[in-house]
Amino acid sequence: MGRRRVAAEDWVRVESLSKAFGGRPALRAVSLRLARGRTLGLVGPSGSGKSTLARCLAGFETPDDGTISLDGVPLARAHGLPPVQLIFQEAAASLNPRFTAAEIIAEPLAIARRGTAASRRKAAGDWLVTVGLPREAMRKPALAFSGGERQRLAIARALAAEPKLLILDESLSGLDIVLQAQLAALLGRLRAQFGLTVILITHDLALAAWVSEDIAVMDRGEIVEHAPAAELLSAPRHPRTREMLAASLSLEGAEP
Amino acid sequence: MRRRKVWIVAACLGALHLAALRADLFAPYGYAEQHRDYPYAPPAAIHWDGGRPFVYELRPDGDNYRENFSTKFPLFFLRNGRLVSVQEPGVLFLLGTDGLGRDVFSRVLYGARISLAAGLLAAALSLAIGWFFGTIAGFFGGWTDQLLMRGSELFMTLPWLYLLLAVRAFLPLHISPLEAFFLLVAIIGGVGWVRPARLIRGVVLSARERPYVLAARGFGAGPAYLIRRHILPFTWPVTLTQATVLIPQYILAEVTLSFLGLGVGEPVPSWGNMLAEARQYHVLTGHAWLLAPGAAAIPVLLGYLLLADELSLENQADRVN
Amino acid sequence: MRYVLRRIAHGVLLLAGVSLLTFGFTALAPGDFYSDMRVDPSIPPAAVDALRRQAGLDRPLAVRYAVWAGSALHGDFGYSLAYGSPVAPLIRERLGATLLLAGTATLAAWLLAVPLGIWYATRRGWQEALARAAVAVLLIVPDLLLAMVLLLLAVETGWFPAGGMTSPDAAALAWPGRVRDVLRHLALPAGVLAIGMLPALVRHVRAAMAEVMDAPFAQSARAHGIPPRRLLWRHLLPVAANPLISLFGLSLGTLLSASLLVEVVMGWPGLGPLLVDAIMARDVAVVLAVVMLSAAFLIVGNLAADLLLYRLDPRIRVRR
Repeated sequence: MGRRRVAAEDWVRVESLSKAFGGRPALRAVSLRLARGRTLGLVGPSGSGKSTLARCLAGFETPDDGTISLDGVPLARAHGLPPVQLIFQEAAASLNPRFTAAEIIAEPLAIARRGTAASRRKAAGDWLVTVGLPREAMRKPALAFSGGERQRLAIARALAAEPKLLILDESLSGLDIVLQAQLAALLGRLRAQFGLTVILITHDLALAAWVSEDIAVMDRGEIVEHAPAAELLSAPRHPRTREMLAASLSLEGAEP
Repeated sequence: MRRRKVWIVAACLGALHLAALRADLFAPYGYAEQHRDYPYAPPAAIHWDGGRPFVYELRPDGDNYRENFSTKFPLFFLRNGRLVSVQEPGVLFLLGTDGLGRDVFSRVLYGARISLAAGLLAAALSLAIGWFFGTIAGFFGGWTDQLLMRGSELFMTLPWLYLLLAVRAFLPLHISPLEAFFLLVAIIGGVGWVRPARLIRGVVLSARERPYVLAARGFGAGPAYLIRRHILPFTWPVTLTQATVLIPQYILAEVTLSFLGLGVGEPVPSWGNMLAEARQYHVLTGHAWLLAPGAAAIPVLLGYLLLADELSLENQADRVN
Repeated sequence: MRYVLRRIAHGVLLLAGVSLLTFGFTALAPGDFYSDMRVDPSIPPAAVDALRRQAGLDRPLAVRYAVWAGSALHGDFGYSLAYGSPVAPLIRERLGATLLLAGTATLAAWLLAVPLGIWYATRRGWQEALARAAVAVLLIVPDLLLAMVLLLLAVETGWFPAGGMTSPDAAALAWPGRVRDVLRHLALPAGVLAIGMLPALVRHVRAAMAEVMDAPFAQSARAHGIPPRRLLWRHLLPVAANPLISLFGLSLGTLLSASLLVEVVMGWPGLGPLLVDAIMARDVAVVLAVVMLSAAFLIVGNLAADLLLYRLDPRIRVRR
């Protein structure tokens, strides 16, 4: 089948992506490259196009122009389990409250008809443990879990689909600080264990810096700056970046 | 369905339906059995001799009947496959007889079969059709939804009874009771699908927008999977409540149509065509027991009413949670 | 204004659709008015055919529809083969009788249901349970049974005439005497019909009131100390009226059909018995006319409710 060997830096490749909603442009010829195993923090004020970019990457929106490819394969031609998994802010709502934890986690596999019911159940149990929940919780319905636990279920479900790219759209926002720390630590472990490629979308620059290796700043539908975290924080180039940096520093008083 | 009251009511209703189903056991006579000597006999007076029930011989007395106290006929239980019977040549007319001397009580039980079955089957039909169209329209939206809304509007521009009559009008009039039964079920069910369809459409429409349905879509789930796994559970409460509302309506529809002579005909009894005999008030006066089929409907309607109320309370409570 | 015109156009379209459907449905009817004659061996088939041709029953469906629709628009609904007279005057006299009966009953039912429903909505404890039981009792007694029982009572006690709209010798009376005669005949059927309508209406009124009474704006009005009577009339009723007006439109719309059973049982000479007889006789012209008339009533009833709501409820206007 001879696929061209893709350079590691082009694991995620976005070229000139444009999308407008009823005349109002949300993405203006956005280009992005993400290497395998890297974590990218995507920051920017609301309305800058972060979520739109995420939804295009996940296949929920069709871009008006431009291409997206993952591991060399154009997104449009991917079949079977979707290669990009998106976790929403309200992860709890994205879980059917009547489903058991096992059913939730195994759902992507069930839909793609991977393996047998028994193998899927086992995989679900394994993922449950991986995200730090007890295996016995497999049979509990989703509404028996707390908010933070449901976030973990959503992550487990996304991982069960073995995605090439994991996107968290404001998933850590709006949680209390302890929960945020726990989930960030979990993400770190998973990245190390599975070599995940992650995009974390947030409006909180400090959080992005804490969790990500690279940071991209979006403003009005364009990526205005893209650099490793440390570099961006110490020497921000774009006025928007400087603005956000100033705002977060004034709140925290010091770098994280 | 955790409330005990629901189960009690459902059990009572079930018992009534069971009695109708086993009319051959509970009825003392067959539905076509005529006692030419006893037209318009009044309901029997049961007397007790110690612990054993009996009836006196019934003798015609001008236009009425009187009991002949010199002759007694004991009642038997569970003899010849019938729960209650009387020693020949005695007669036991628990609710009197009609113009042909047929036992009204037996015919009410046999008639219950027809009327209740018509209601249940017609309800099943209209719920099935309504569920199907409602789910398709609610899930896929677009032109299928438009089609459903416009189409159902046409059905709703005629008052329900007139719609039933109009449809019945243009179908063969002189048909066998069996054909008439199924025709009636088809008409009542086929005409009444609109309201359940609209309700289910609404439920499916809102369920479709839930985040976890969108998430499952994101995993590549097709419509069949989404409907089966995520949306179907929402339609059960509505369907169940609708059933408890529709069944009594449809029972009454059968009764009405048969009463008007457009439903099940002789000799098969239905509560409707039995009441038709009492249509002329000169028959009705003095023979009030001919109204028994109408009274028999009351406990059934009560049961469904209580069930419907309890279920709608449950649904409200669930929605709050 | 545009809203009004649009709704009217919508209604007209609906009516046309129903007429097409109903007329088309007659094509399904096996046999026609003369079918029974055909089976009769003493009548030569040629004579039956001639009769059919005379009645225009042999022409293609589309032609028949066009002819029917054309004359219907002029108020001419064809010829009744069973009654041997034009349909329109036949219907007109029956229509009056039905409207009198159903109109009286509907008015009575609504006049009773609104205060009863409001009262019911404000009750708690044993009074509420009693009200609920009373409504339930009325609800579960089939209208057919109620009509027959009351007819029986009327005949046995002699308090009310045993059916019909007029007494045989009423034509000889002067005008006030005739009115009194009709009213005497009207009492029982209208009473039966009203009792049949009452429980469902009371429930609806109560439901509408209950929903409104628990609404946040009602609670805050109460907290502000607004006296109950003023609260009811100025604050609660206007909001609760919304679903009730729609329901009233439906009541208006079903004026023709609601009384069918009562008319048949009690011998009231309205559209009900006419329709049933026409069905039995396969008198297509009459059935068509009655069906179309009832559709028109329903459409107009709903239209009236819609327009009334549009005028009264500012929320609808804003949403447009």
